[in-house]
Amino acid sequence: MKSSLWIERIILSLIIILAGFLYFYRLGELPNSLSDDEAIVGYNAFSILSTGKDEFGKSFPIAFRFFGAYTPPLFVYLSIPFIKVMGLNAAAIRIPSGLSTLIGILVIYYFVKSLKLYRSGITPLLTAFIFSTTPWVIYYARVGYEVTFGYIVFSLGALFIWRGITINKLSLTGLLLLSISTYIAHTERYLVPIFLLLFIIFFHTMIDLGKNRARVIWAVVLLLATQVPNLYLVSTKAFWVKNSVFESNNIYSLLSDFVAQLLTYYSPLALFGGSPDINLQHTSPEIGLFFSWLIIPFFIGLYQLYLKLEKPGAKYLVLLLVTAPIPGALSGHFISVQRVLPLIVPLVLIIGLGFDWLLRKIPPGIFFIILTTLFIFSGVLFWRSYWVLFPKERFAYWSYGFEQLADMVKKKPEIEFVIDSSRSSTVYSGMLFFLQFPPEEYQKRYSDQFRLNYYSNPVNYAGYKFANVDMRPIKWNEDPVSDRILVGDSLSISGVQAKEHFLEKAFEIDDPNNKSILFGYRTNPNKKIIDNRIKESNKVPGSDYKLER
Amino acid sequence: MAGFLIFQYQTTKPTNYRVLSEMEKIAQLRRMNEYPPSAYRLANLIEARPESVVYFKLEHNFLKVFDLETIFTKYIPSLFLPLFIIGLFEAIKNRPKLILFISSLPVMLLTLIGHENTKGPVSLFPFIYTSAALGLIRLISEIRRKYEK
Repeated sequence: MKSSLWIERIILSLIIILAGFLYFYRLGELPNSLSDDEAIVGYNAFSILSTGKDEFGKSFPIAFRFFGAYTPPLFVYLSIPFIKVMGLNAAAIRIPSGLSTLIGILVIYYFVKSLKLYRSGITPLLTAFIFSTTPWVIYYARVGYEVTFGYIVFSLGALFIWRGITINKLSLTGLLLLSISTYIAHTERYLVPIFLLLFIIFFHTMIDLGKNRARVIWAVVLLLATQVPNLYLVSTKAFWVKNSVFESNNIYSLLSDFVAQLLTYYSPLALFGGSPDINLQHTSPEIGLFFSWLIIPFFIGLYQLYLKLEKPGAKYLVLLLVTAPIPGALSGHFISVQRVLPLIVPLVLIIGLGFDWLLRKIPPGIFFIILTTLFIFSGVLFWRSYWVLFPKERFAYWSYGFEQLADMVKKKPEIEFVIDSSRSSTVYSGMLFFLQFPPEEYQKRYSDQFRLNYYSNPVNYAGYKFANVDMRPIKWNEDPVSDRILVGDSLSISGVQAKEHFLEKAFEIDDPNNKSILFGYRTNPNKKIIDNRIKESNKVPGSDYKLER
Repeated sequence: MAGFLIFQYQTTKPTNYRVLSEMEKIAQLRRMNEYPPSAYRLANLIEARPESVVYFKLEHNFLKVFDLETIFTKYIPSLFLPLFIIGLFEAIKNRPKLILFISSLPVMLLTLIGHENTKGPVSLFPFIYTSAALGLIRLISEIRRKYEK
């Protein structure tokens, strides 16, 4: 027995080491740019580290305003020690997601061990391996914002809750973890109350209230105490930013939207065939959230779950499966796979059930030959998707180019850069991040009155000015007559406009396919002013027509 | 069931596994160029080999059969989904080989010929409706059993 336990631990360690490689290898380079969400998390963590205040000058907020999202704060605070040690860079803000996903592997392993639904001794390790190598998991283990940490802590809490009720106890650790998860990401803020309510309805008989009376009282005290900040936020706009679906007055439309979204999240096509998420920043090209062939053990696992529905472990798994996508389905009109990350755990456990059945039906030697072949094949397809196609096809969704632009800005501190942000007002976060602009200087933009209404005042600014950078729409009647560099893409500054306003190309920034995506043009105020005077003098007084020469 | 399969076959524009459309050719060339030079052979194997093209198209067609959102919003009311699942699982419990054989026929057909059909995956409908009816019967008998207790 002892030696098999050691072997199991060694294999689990090897899985974690492999996962570590997948989650941390070239972490600062892939994704090959910083998304606006990552940049704003990183800059605010940097700001808290430097000044104890966020970018707006608010001291240790209980929800970070960012772009008006009022993101729960814990991930930002968690990033601080990494930024302190590694500096403000992409790897520093992405590492917490990778580390928490490594914990997720253990969550899966112990869930399989404790649900009492699986027969084979190999299944816990196999399911942990599947989780660790799932494309959906790897993708979100390498991003620098809060969604990954949120679902891992929620799942860890759910695991403790389950282990507690198997010994007729209410786990205070589990409740504490669930409560903490509501301070990590928006999804968990809605998911935890829904999950707890249904848990109490369907599992209260498993908790011996006689034995647990004191625990129940402590549980209520614990939840109330840890939810004080959220209870305060409920009375502000900050709490309600992610439920735009409720803006509709039409109940039928609300319900049909909700059902359609749920169906999509559960749809095998969406899970195994390619994501329906319209935001291409959320996924990697040409690969599903899970490897496509896992649809077979998934269907087998679903059937096995149905057969075992009388068992408490199966009911708990169904509870996780049913509650996980509800916040995502309620949060808006579009599918977003990062809002339903808690769904990963029950889906992987169901796939594990399928493999558990297959392990009993197929001779082990043949099973592992087939499995190894399929994983090697999938590994090649994942390499193709994430390492080859993703950096070349999805860079634009990760605000590519601003790191290089920041280098240009640093090289010419004496010149003002006007950066067109008319189509995306959030790109200022990348410039702040890469310039490492002093937070105490940036905070001066905002008044005390602004900070007073912090939780009720979503940001809506026309521009951002800091260092020698001014991020706003280009003003064609003003900017060409001052000495500055205008920066934009080919839509912001066309060749015709460059010619008309006497702009000279100062630099180009290329994308990973060596095509120019950002252009910097130096203005020529003298020529432009003279040209304006000529145009003025050619105007007929009282009309808009020029005199014919 | 056979009638629906024949109707599906006759009304579907079959997937072309041999000839790529212009868009597919452009995408293929673009992707070949995205690989690092050292992986040129692998790029050719994955993107350009006819076997790979066939594999990806078959995979796409197979997975599209399980597009729950389209089937249960556009063609069949969503309410039928839980009944279908219950009925399907109950049927598999009683006659696993028969049910798996019957269900595999439309799945294989749609995988091979594709989904370009204005009527949708009609060959699936008899199976879905029959399973949903079974599911309803099972649900009613389960409710009765619990009520009589």
